Amino acid sequence: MAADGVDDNRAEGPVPPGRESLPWHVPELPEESITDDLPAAVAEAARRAFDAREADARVVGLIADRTLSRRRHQQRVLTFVDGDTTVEISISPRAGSLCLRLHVSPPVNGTDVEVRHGGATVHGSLDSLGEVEFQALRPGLLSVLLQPAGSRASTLQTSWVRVSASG
Amino acid sequence: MSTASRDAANLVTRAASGDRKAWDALVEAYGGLIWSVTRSYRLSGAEAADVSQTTWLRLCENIGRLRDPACVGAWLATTARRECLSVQARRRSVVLVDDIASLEADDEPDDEVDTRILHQEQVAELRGALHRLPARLQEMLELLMQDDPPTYEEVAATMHLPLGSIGPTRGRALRTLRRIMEAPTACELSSMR
Repeated sequence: MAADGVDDNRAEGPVPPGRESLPWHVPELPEESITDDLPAAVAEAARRAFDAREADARVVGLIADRTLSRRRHQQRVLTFVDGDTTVEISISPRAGSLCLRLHVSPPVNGTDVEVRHGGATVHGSLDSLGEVEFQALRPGLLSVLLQPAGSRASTLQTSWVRVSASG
Repeated sequence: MSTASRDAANLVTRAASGDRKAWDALVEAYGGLIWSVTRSYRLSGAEAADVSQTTWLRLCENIGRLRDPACVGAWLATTARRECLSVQARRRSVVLVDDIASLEADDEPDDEVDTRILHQEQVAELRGALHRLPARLQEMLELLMQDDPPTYEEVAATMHLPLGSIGPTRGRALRTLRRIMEAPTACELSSMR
């Protein structure tokens, strides 16, 4: 099932306004400006990282990171585990951006999903099989938040990973 | 625990409870260290900025769970190194080059920078621990730790002690120093796990 309610997730075109202020946005540095001194933009981004803090979330750690290739098709599969919960994220390049397929086991129908990626966010919810798909994501730092609907269970957050334009 | 370690632990505890100023102070204190680690791996500007931000986001994830908040500097340096290696590993899996030897040579991490910074921190810890020793033990170790140390006879004469007591007193001083240093050593090891 493809997620709708997508906000601010264009993969191409101008940078969405406010993207630079997101905590997981990485500043672009001209190569010629790189020195041994900490760039001001990197320090500012580090200060902003504090806003990504989810004080009550349980972090689901990455336990496997595989790249599967078949002919011209490439897919990166990230597996996160916390106790009995397994979150599998498959990322593949599609039409100049990234497609992300999420599978959570055991499935909890209606779980709210927030994907933080490449300086933007998208929202969706799991279907009865514990799956959801997102299109047109940006490369960059990525983390997924899961909040079971109508439940007091704490939010799950996958550990941050870096995804490139190829997955 | 030294003043620097106490300050670091205090900043971590405050940031974990939501104090933004404490977080900013951590960035101020350790941002340069993380950047120097990325520079030592000769990453591109984009990769270095990526590693820096990932390292801070990792601290954000784990700030309430650090085994020893006083060692946050060592924890950040280790995390940044792992992220640099991860970038290099993924780069190798997707980049084809003509001259593998030159790539490998170029990817050799320059450990000197962050090792030097961490070494300076350890030296500062040692000095702090030395100053917490009783004055007589401190005086003896300072004499014996000189680049060109005096003989036991000279130490005995300088400190007006019996010659036979120099060895046992030196041993007691080192054991006491080790006990004082014990906490930082344990946390440094835990950060490497």
